[in-house]
Amino acid sequence: MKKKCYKMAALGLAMGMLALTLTGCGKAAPESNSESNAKQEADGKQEESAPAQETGEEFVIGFSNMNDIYPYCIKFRDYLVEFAEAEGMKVLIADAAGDAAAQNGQVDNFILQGVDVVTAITIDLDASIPAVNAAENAGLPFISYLTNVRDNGGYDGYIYIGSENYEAGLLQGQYLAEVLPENAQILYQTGNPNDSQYSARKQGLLDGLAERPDVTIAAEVATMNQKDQGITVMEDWMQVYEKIDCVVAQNDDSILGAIEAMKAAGRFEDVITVGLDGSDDALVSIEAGELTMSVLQDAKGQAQAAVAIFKQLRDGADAASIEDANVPFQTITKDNVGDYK
Amino acid sequence: MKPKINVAKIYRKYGIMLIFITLFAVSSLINKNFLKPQNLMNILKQISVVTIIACGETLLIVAGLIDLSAGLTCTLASCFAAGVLVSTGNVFLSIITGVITGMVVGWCNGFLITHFKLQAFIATLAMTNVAKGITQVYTGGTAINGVDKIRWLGQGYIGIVPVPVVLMLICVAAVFVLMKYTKLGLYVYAIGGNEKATSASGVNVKRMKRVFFCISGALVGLAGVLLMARMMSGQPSVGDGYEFDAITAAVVGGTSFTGGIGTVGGMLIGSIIVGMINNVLNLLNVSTQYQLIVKGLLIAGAVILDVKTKEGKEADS
Repeated sequence: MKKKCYKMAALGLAMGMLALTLTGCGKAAPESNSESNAKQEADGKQEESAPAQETGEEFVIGFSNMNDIYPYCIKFRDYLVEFAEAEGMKVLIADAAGDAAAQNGQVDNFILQGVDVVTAITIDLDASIPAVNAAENAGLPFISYLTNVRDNGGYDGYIYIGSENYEAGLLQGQYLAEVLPENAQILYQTGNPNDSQYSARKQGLLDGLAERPDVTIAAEVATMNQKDQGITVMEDWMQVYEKIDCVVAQNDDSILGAIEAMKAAGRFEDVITVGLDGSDDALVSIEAGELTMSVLQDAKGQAQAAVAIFKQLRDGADAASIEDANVPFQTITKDNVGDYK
Repeated sequence: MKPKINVAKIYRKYGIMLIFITLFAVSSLINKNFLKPQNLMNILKQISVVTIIACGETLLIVAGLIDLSAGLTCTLASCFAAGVLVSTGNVFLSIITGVITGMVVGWCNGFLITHFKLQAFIATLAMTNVAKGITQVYTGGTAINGVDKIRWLGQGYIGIVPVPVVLMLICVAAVFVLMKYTKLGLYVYAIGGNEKATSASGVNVKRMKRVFFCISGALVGLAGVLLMARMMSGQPSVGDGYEFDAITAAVVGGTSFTGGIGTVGGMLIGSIIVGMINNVLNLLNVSTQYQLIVKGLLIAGAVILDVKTKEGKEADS
């Protein structure tokens, strides 16, 4: 009897937790997305974002997200669903959880489900070629976001919508070239050095700084774009560098962690801090006068560009005739942050 | 016959201290910043979250179990605690929420393992996905901000000692006492050493396993609250992989995967060794790729010693 009580109590607690989950914290994504999100597993089960209403004429989009742990990917997914549904289209969603093989399988599933267009934030410029080939064999257009699959996967029905990572780094570099004092030292926090994104963003930064040979990158560590790592690395750097001029990160989470560490140590004065992504947290930080500058990865603009292309395809346009779309990054500082909130 | 030196036994007793002292000496020689008190405090602060998780992980591994869901449960607890803090403004309630969240997940792990006879490895792996999913649903993938009230926990000091370090030492001390001086601790070693014999002697092994997971879960939950306080936000993407850092600390600290052997004291030294290596490589401006190689070799080395020790144990008996 006693044992039973103990079990019941635990069960009660579990239910309580579930209730807490379902009520949410008021920040949760639109319900349909949240639900589909919960049911997805790492190996990529698929869920419909809206109740199926088979009319036979409905335009259906299959979208495989890169990884649902990144705020940017979630933001993009939500905008895409919102804009597409506003046009009366239906979006099937899957999360590849960073695994190119899982994503290729999801694309195969979309094709079997009879979608009209296959789209993905593709994971790798080479490993994603099979997904493009699968779409080609099925005669469906393939739209890739952010990652430009090498040589279009050899398919003329391939369309790329993206913002060049190189350009993001370049904007960081150009901004720093303007504002940094003489002989400033940059401490650089990066993403995973295995990603093509890493080298493109870094090359952009270096090129942007080309006219300032007095400025040096004193240290570079991969924080894997994570906030906890941003804190740890910054704490260590503060032991080495007497004066900190400038910290640059390849994304916002990392730089916000570095700022947190400097604030805690009482050494956050006159430090120029630069992030990338323009996440909600970053905008708040810029507005508060902490983060100096970030580069906005325009999820909304990208989703709008995608839906504009969906409309052309629905109206019968040939995918081969549709141009790739480049959605530019935007520099955000305290001066213009109000426009983006 | 001349007495053979038993390397394994010496390593169990002093090896970890020798490695620690050697590394400490080398680190202080190659970098002048290493010995600064502030830097030494930083190391302890940086390992605090993982070490608290590793307290529970050590207990479980000694009992012949393992928890692969610890990292993402820590994330879940940090987000729940952040959510509760934002909506109620009550720090105490937030901490309790985090701890209970960890306990509930721990209990579920224990239930799956004892009721359905699942391997701990598989059950906790499954729970990893559940914890991740719930975190994503709850947060919608974005960080939860506005937890200023709990700043003292992550960034405050007691004297010259950062609060996270104090909390970590309390947890280590508590689990140390629990494992060394209580009946429950005796069961941990007994079940890890020989489960069948323990069961035959009248101990309710299943119930004990659930209790172990609840204790470990509570520690993971507390670590989650600390993580949230350190980052001043509930981050749905931070915490993944912490379970492996915790297991590494335990194994480097002399905990054996075969069960029945290991102490939290050893784990603490193991954790400090890993933290020291990370720290000094950062101070020396060594790139992340090389840091990974060094860390990997360290784990391999520790496990080799672990295997050798096992051979030694068999030879003894």
